[in-house]
Amino acid sequence: MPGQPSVLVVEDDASLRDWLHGSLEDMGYQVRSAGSAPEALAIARQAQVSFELAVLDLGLPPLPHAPTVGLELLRQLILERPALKVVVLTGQDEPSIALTAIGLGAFDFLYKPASSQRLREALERAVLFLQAEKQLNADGQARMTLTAPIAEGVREFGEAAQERLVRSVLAESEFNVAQAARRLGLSREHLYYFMKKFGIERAPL
Amino acid sequence: MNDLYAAAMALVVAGLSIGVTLLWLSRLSRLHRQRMDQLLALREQLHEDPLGTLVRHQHTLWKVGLRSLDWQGNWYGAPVSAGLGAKIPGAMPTALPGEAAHTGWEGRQEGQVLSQRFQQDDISLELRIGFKGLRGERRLFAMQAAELLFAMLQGALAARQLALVAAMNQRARVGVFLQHDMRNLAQWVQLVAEDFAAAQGDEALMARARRLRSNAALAAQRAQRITQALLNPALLPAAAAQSTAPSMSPRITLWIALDLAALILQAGEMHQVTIDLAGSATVRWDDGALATVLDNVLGNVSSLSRERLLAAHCRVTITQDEPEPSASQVAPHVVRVCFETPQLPLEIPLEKIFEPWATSGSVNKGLGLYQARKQAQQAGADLCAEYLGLGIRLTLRVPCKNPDMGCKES
Repeated sequence: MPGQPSVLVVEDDASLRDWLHGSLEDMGYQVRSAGSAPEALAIARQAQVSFELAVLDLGLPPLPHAPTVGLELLRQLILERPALKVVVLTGQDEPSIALTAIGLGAFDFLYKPASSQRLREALERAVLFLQAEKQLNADGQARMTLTAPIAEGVREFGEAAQERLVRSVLAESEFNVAQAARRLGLSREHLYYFMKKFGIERAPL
Repeated sequence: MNDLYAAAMALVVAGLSIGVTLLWLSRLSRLHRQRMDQLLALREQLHEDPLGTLVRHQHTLWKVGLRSLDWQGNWYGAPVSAGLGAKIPGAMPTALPGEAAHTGWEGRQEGQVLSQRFQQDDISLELRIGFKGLRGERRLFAMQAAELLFAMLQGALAARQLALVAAMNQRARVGVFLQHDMRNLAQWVQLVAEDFAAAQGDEALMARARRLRSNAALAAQRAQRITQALLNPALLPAAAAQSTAPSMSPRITLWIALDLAALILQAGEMHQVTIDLAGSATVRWDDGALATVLDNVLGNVSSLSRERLLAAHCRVTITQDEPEPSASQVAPHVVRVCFETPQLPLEIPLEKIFEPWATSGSVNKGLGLYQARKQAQQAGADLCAEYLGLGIRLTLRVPCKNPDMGCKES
């Protein structure tokens, strides 16, 4: 159904992934699913595939019993798609892992087993935020959440904000540099300078 | 002529003496070698049960020339001491205060006594062998036997420790693997149940049933994987072990308010053990340690009862010991939780109950109570056992400052 929010489900347990896929479709979402980090990243890098939400398990192969791969995937997904709202649904219930995930930009953090009601509410909240952010964006404003060490000072924080802003405007304009530069009030050369500085490259089509 | 005859006789006598001595020494050394072989033959048994083997085979020790042996120390959390043969004079040397305990062994000889200190993770032993009354080659042989015995004991203790670490790591691997899979399974069950419960009308119900049918093969595969992990932990992926924190590494613990009665009933339900509970308390303690104790104590009750075709039943009482009046005001109260199973015969000696691999069940590995007590002690509590009827009473003593007896801590 076009117009419905779309969700990427990343879960290594095949039967749970399959059931989640069906449940989310029943809730009215368009669903893509992946069983591993490379598979999820490949989907995220396909410019023509749109998804605004993700349900992410942190315990992914080759280390399904540790959060390492899931956290790295979370970082990469946010880098690829800055506007993405990621709901972490994981069996890794260490508070420090939740803290790391939220620091990396997770929108919500649910421990397994979570009720479908909680999952539905988390996704609905994420959709609400997405819509509000889209509205703000249409009004020429960008909402962003940043995590950076305070001790590194104002400059580092400013750099992180710059990078985030450039990445999100480029992603929204589907890497149309001229359009992104216009929106940011920069010359194209200046935008290229920022892209080079932050190592932003267009994903291969 | 007479002188020559005397000299010849002296030579013959000397030759005979040397010959007899050589024969005697040769017989002695052959005997000694045979006895040392007998001592060496105890190696396997020493691995199984080091201290018990010394008691059971003391005649072998006496045969190799030893006269007395005693030991004292801590054996997997329990104090041990024993003396075999003649009493060895003098006090048992103890570690100096502040002396760092380190893995290994140290030996020293003081007068008629050879002593050796053995230090492993859960074992700290001081062994002494006395040589009073032994002289000459007998003393030499006895010293050699004592050194061999000490080396064999050290080898046995080190091998036990290595095997224990390996077994605990494997146990942790299974735990982590199962935790991951069980959480996924619980999530799957929850979603399936909720989706079916929320289905309105036959059409929605049929759609979900069709989805369940297509999902069934994947769910069955997962069930097989869990069963395989339970039956054969060695087949678990190696990656699981890498991600597992070794059981011996220090844990960061957060003490939280624990409603003992509720948690005991919950653990009983999980292990299908009927709990006859008296008393309640809320204490601030390590939730991980309590979970390990409950899981292993009630898990044992469950599995052993089923093996013996008995009803799985455990009487649990929660009481509080008041601090001694003479103690300072900050002295903690002690909450005592007794798990009583007088109907369940104990088939191993009580003093071995917390030793690794000591089990009276055919399924259990005998690591549960060892791990439970170790974790309880690391969290400042203690777990001890005493005979009760045919079975035992296990008592968990948790020190805490302000236990809330009978109602939840705010």
